[in-house]
Amino acid sequence: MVESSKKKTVTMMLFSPPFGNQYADHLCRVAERALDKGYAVEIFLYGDAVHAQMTEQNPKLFFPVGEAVKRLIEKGAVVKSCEICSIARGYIKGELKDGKKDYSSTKVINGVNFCSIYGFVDMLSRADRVLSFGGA
Amino acid sequence: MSNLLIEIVHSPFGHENAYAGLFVAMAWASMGNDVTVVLREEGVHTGRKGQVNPFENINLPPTEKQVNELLEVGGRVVADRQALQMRGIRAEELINGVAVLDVSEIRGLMVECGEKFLSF
Amino acid sequence: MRVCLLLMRTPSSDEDAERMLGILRSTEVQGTEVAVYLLGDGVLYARKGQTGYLGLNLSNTPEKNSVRASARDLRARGISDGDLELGVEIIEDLEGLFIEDVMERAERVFTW
Repeated sequence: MVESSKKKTVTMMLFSPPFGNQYADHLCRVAERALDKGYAVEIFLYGDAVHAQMTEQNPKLFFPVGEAVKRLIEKGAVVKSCEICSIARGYIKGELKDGKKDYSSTKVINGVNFCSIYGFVDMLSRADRVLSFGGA
Repeated sequence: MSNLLIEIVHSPFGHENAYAGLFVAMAWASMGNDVTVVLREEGVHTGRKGQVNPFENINLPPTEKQVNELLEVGGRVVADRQALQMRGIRAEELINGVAVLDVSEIRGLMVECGEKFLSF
Repeated sequence: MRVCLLLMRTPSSDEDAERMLGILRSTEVQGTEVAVYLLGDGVLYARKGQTGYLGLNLSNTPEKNSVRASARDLRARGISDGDLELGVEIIEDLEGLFIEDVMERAERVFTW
């Protein structure tokens, strides 16, 4: 187990949606083992991968990505989703409300937050290691 | 600040990969960081100049503009020589500023600059 | 320098294979040790008897390098010990071993 006084951070980018291939499965499993071993985990959902944030996923026979994401959040992973990708795909409106962006949605797993690409850059800059899942 | 190495292996438009990878590269570079974009396989088409109004023609954003803007802020864009040759892409077809590297040089670049790596 | 490669698929061409495993085979990158982790469809790469760009050719790589495959993914795909290239280690908790290597020992990590 890693000493909690100085947790190393692994940041993972997911660029593939769930179910069409196993990249989301692999990311979730690696992320869970990283948390088990005491590392800090941050996940960025980019492009079609934002579909991993959808609540009410109900795969009968496939790896339950939605449940895995919930579990990762419960175990302390930071999960952020690309704001413009999520707006494009209808998850959030992202409009300004009382001076703040409105990220409210009934379609998104509780605990998934949104950020711009600069938010992802911030995650990358703080990461000790970066892992890429589903790009190419 | 550490280096970011972004690999792009898809051509623009058919997949959003090229656009998405360049978007991250530009954001990283605009914060004063070093970024290298490596174009490999079909991704070398991302290094070609001459796109004509992709937004008007096919409702997609111009990646050539992204590459130019990235080069302007000091980002590095390199293309795989062998991939270019296989696809018959000549040096004069490339966006000004896109460098060409051999496979062995790219391997070295990955080890040297790949502290943080994303593949698109 | 220690490099970790996490392969979650097999290459689809010579170009792809060079991209994914060129570092393993490279003699130009001196002093590099490469640890290959095969996960998901990546375990298919470890099957023996493959040729061309699908041939791992582990016998041609320096001993300091390693290739490890996920036991769970091998079982799911009906690939047994005897089907694997010599030198491939079968690991039950590949994800755990990989992340520890990445976070504690490796200086570079590339994933496909």
